[in-house]
Amino acid sequence: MSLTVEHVFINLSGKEIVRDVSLQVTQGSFVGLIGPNGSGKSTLLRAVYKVLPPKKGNILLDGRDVVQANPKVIATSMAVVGQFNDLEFDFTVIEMVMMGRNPHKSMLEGDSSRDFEIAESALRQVDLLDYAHRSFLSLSGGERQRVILARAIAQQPKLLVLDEPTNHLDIKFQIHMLSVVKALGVGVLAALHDLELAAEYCDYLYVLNHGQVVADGEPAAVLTKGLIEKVYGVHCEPYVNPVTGGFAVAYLR
Amino acid sequence: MRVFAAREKGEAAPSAGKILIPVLAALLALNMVSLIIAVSVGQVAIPASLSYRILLHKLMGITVGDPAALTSGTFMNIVWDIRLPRVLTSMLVGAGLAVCGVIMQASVKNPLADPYILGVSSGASLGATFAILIGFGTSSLLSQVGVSVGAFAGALIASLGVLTLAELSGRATSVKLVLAGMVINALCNAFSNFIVYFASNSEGIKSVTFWLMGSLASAKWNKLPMMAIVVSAALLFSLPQSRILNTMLVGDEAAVTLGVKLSSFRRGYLIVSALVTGVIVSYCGMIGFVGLIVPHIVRGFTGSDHRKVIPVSIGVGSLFLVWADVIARIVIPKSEVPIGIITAMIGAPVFIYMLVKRGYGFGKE
Repeated sequence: MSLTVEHVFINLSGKEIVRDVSLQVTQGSFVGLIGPNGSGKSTLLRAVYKVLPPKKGNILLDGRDVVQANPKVIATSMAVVGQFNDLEFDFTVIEMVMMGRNPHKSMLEGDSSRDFEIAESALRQVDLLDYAHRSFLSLSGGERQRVILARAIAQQPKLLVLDEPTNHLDIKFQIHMLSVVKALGVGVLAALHDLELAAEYCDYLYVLNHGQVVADGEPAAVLTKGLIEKVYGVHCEPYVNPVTGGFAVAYLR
Repeated sequence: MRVFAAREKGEAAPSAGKILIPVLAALLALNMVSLIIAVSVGQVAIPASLSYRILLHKLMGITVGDPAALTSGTFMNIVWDIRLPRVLTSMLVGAGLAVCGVIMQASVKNPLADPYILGVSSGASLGATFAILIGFGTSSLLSQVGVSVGAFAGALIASLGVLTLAELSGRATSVKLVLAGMVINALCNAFSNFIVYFASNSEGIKSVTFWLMGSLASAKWNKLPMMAIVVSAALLFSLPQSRILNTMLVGDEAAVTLGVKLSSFRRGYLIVSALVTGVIVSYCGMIGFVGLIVPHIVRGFTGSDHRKVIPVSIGVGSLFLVWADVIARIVIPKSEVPIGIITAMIGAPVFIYMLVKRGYGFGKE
């Protein structure tokens, strides 16, 4: 399952937020989208998961036009962990996760024991199996985020779209969440804030600034001093982490 | 920690999906018992032991005990011709309004929605009074349909009006919805009262009290079929919608990612609730708060999963209105209180509790 975004333009209330963006997520690869606040990451992702129609350009999931396709068909192969997890009505955790089975069900079809197994295994993967019968609204922000990830896993997607999934999470669960996602082995398109985590988990990075892709490539090639300083407007010094041997960056004042 | 312990206890119920059937069976039994009691009490007290035999005799032709005692006197007339159609009407109205409340609350993703609060009922009553004014309103079936169509149109226009007003400047919040509902409510009431006041009963328009506070006093056998068909159709329609209604509660964006585009469903659901509200109001006037409090009480026990909320709300709504009507009939001897007064006396405090205690709307999106 591969996602192709071709020359996409998106306007929000008359303003051009995303300009001529093209990117690709190939089968099973973990692709990161980085860039400062307001660079258009979320807007681009919202177009990918059918909430915003792009003004121009194509979004194709295995050659199928995402914008025109039936949402139910798309939802069987693409799942989303977004930033819209506010509820007015309470559900239990297991009820929330079971909603991930919806796209695989016809209207009158009941939930089978297989569906419950899938939901429970998803909860186990995010370490929340004990919370199955807790109320969703009684959970902390980070726990809610993990429930939403479990719901996305229960959808059994081939592509996972994550919009700043590690917001609200402490460092343990940031690492936990990205590791869980990586272990799924499905294609991932994730908007991320933390450059070190992005470098560690992503196979490929796209850097967005003012709605345009300003750089792309493997993390080591993209995350240079010049690019970070230009895009984020901070002084910094990237270095090789002496403990892990991975990418690290020190921000200077 | 105590809060959490209490929460976990409270959540034990919704997890046990298998208890749904016994709960529904118990509700059905309670409804049957209530029906027998409700046809027995009133200005003429009839022993329940007699009224259930009358019902058995009439419904299934089974005669228990002395047949002469059943048919003699006026008891049979009172039970069969006066009280039974009224009790059945109250059941339909209660179930219909409760399900309308469930559907509307999900559709606008707002716990404060119900046909009465969002001004849909008063839109219906304006439509009904207007239809009567322009010539419908005799007891022929065609004319009944005319009044119902008027009420449906009124309800539909009112609900669209409320949604448009609430969404004028961005997303509809709880506060904006309730305010818009209040405004439309006041406007429709003013116009329908104007019509009623000047028509002064000459055109077969009932009193202001009937439209504002509702009454089941006019329930007759010949008026039942229309309401029975519309309400039962709506109930049957709503039962398989649970998955979509559940997805509605998690919001439009999340719903799309779960494969449901809500906007078209939302429109359909609002039309169905306007239809049910319209028909109910055209026969019984405005009965407030049923659609608000029944779903909330039910959710307190079942959680938000509509697979449980809808069937249980049907049973509880029907029970609630049967008993509200019994109270309306007996609370003042030799007189009758409009049923809307009773439901408001129970419902308004619940509404206040929800606004204050649970902080819906104020200070929060």
